[in-house]
Amino acid sequence: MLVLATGDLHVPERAVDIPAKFKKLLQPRGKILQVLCTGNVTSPSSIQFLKSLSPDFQMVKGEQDKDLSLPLSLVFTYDKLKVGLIDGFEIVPKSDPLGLLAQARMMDVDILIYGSTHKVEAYTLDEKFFINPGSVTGAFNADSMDKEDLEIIESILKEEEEVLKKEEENDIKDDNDEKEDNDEKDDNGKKDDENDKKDDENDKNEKEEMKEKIPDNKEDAKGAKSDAVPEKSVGTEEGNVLVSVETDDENLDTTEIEPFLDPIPSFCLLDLQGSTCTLYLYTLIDGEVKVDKLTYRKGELS
Amino acid sequence: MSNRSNITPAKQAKILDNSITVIRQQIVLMRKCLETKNRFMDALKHTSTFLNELRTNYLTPKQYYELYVMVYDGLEYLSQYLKDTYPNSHLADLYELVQYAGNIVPRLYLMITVGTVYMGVKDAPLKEIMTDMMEMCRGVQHPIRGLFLRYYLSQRTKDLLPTSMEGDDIELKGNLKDSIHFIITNFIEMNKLWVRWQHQGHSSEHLKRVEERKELQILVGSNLVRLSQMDSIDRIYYKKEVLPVILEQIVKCRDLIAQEYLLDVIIQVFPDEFHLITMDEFFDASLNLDPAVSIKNIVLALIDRLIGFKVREPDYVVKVVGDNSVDIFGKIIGFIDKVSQLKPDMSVTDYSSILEGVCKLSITYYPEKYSNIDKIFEHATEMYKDKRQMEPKSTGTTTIQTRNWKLLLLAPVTMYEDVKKVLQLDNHYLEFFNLQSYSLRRSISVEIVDRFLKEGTGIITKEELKKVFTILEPLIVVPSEPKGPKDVTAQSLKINSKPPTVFGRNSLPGSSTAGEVDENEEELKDSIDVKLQQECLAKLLHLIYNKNPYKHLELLQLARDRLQPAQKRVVYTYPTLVAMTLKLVRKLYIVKHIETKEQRNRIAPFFTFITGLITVLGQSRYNAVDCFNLNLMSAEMADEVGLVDISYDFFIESLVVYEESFVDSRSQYQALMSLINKLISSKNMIQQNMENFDRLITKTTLYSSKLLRKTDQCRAVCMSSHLWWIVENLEDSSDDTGIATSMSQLSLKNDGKRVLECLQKSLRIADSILDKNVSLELFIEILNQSLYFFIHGNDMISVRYLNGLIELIRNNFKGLGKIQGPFEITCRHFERTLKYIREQKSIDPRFEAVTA
Repeated sequence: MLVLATGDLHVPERAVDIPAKFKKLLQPRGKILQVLCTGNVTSPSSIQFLKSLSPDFQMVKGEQDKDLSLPLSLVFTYDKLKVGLIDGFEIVPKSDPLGLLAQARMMDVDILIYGSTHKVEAYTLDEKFFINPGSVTGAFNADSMDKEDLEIIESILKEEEEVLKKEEENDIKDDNDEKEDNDEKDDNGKKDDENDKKDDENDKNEKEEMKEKIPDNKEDAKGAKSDAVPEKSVGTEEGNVLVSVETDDENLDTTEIEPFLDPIPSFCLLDLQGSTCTLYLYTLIDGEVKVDKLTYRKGELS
Repeated sequence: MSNRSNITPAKQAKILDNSITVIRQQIVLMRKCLETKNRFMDALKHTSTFLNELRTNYLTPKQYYELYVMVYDGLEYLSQYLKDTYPNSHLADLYELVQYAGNIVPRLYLMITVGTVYMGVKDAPLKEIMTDMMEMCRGVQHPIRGLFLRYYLSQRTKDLLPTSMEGDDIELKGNLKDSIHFIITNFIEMNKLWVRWQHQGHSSEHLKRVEERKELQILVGSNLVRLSQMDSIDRIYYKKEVLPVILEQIVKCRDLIAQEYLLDVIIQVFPDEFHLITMDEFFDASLNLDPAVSIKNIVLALIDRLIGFKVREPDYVVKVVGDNSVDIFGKIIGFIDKVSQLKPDMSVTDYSSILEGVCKLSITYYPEKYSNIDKIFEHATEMYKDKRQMEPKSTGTTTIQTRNWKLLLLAPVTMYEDVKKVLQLDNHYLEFFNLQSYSLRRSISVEIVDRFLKEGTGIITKEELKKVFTILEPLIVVPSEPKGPKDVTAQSLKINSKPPTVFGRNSLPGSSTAGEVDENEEELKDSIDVKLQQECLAKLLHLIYNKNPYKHLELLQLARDRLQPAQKRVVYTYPTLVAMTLKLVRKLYIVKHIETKEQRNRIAPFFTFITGLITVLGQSRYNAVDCFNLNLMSAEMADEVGLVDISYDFFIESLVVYEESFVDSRSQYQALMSLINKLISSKNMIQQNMENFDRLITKTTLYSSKLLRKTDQCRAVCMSSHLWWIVENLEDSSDDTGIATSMSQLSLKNDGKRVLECLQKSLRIADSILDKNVSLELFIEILNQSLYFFIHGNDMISVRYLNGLIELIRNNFKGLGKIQGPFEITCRHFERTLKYIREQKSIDPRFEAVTA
């Protein structure tokens, strides 16, 4: 039996929609017999969509769901497997493995599906299988971010900083080539083709030029700048151009790190046969759908 | 002339069968004669015999066509024979000879057959033959026989007509001009015959005639196809010599079917670039047609063709548009003006369809010329105002009209490659837009939002944002009585009849049941339609983007201002703004822009903005859950970025909302669970301002102990214990099992005594519950929580404590005697817990002494 586990949509508060690629994958083909939702659906259109996927839609209440009639937990029996469904916000501490284990023990289930962290994961603990299908929309979550994501962002920022440094060096070298006709660069980040400056590799440089156009801020203190600020720029010539915090903020551009800020959209399909659960974890990374497969057998030590 | 009216279809079928048999036999005989020496004259006789079958009056055009096809094949054989074997020098004689055939129809078919073979011969007097054949064909005036005969003439001469403009012996061989004259003459004659067919027979057969004429139309149109295939005609020649004659004939024939059909054929068969330079001629002719001719269909066909041209030959079109040699848009608008002058009675639906077409054309050809679109909508506006006064409204036409207006308004939305260009349209587009009914405007707004969402087009400047909100106004300001009679959902919700309950700023938060009923009503007041539209609007907010978080915030603030008029419906949109702002805060934190004092000052407006949004939401008590959650989210984010004081404020706010608005025990319990979890994750506050943190957790524990239902109370107090014992897993996640023992931990808070107090208190509450089974279940849950602390090294939760608890539960079960009914389930929970403890012994030596 094929069961879809999903949840944490948060449409439209925190996400626009389920990604088109997921929607396409999930198109009703009669194979999915049940949809288990970990809550936080919040919008009528999302409910409509989830209900359309299978003949049987089951949902528990998430902390954002206003319908108090929704149950906090549900238990289903499939042949030899018992599956529990909770949102997870009531597990203290949230998504703590021991807390989840106690919950699974209380519900007497082999598999516990929970959500609310927007982090897709699945693991076996004490012979029980724990599945978090994550957020199918990749919705923003105020819970702290994954360390790995933060590390990626860190490395991007570092790279940017290095590029910036190099450019500064180049700028000093090519000082004489400094162009007069600084292009008006509009805010939406379109590249300006007319800019024929040879070593203008990316728009960082254009920003430099922008800054140079604003000499008014000269008196602002150098000290306000901190080295850790990646977008920060330094005057190209001593005493010539100083950039205030204000201008610095003005030119801040977070485009590069944008893709790593939101959780990865994900959902799970469970194929339940006898005492075996084959789990397919679907994730959308860089616009590509990735599938991971895990198998859980009841009574088998991990 | 026509005897067909007296004849039954069965008889017709019989006649057809007979004719087919005759033709088949005679063709066989003809071929035999041709293959035998000296029997050529007999062959001609047989030919003449089967040609006689084409003299019939009794068949329908379709049936006649069947005969024609057979005859054609027969004649083709003869023609091939003549070409292959007949001495060239004798063809002229033969041409004379066949003219002695007895009946005119066979005679002319034979003549054309021989004549066209003759034409293929070197040095043949082409011009003379052409003229002669054309003249002779006039002899057949019966429409069907004439049409097919001339069609035969056209088919036979296909590749033989002279195409050169000049030559040595023009007098003899003719030139392109003669060919064109030949085809056009044939076209004119055929058209006359075709038109005449309409007036044959009894007037009661009018519809039948129309039907038959449609079947015959292709014969007439084939002449125009032939003309379009003549490569030597260039567009200038076409404009000067060809088109005017054709158009003249079309106008002169004064026949509805002919005019509609032939103009369409012209549009379809001649090359695109011809149309580009002959729009004037075409439009002039269109103005002089039969009043019943649908100008709309003709204009739209031409527009479609031109739009298609852009797709087929983008370079050519770009060039034409670039050098501005043809003012396509101006010509069409000029034409429309003339039409509305000359035909003031043209229907509004036709008119708007034409405008829609022009709109699409203009966007295709002149995507940057917003003035064109403005002009179109100026026309639409005028028309709309005029017609609204003049036409009495009947529901049917109004529906169609509304649909057409909608299509017209949607034309720019669907046509522009970049949906943002719609925002460039103002003035008349908006004027026309605002003239429409609310429901129509709303549906346009929804379509625009959909298009934006589909493209994922970012809204990045204030100007764009302002314009978007102008056009989306119908989604923001919903009239108090938006439900028309057609609104189905309105009827399903009778609640609307009741006056809405107002929750003002001053309404005291009470726990009266009356208040709760009103709350529900307030929620239900919006139909599912309204909810979906508001969802749409909220989704659109996600498209507001600027790569610079500070500028992004300015956009969000502007959005808030524009959403304000929605009043209570901000409940659908403000939460989105809060989430987006929090995301910006995180972004600034990640790029290390919340470090210096100045930077921290600059972050303040983000939270001020959020507070403002939540305050407005809080004015309706129905939003309590939202407000509570949004405050918690903000508190959590503020803590993450190290702004612990701000975080504290938001926690306090959420506690205020809890106190004031949470009346239901279930929602209170759930709110407390959220609260406890958010507090546990407030790592920064714990480390930087323990005083504040203690204040918050004390308050939370207090709330837990005040829950109404004892089960909720017990569980909440038990869970509150976690507030006093907080560990952070430092090295996490490398092994997925996440077993606590394998992690190194940082203890953020370890007030073991308070943990114990909480657990003890929850035990007391559980014990005081009269339902023994519930009380036991809670004991077990507390035992499970105790295990957590035991594993995490809380000394106060000792082996002795666990053993005591286990003992207590055991004794309780013993006291029950036989365990049955609901107790069985509880007992099994206990057994599972004990089993877990036993299993832990092998991993964790501390468990050894636990008596499980």
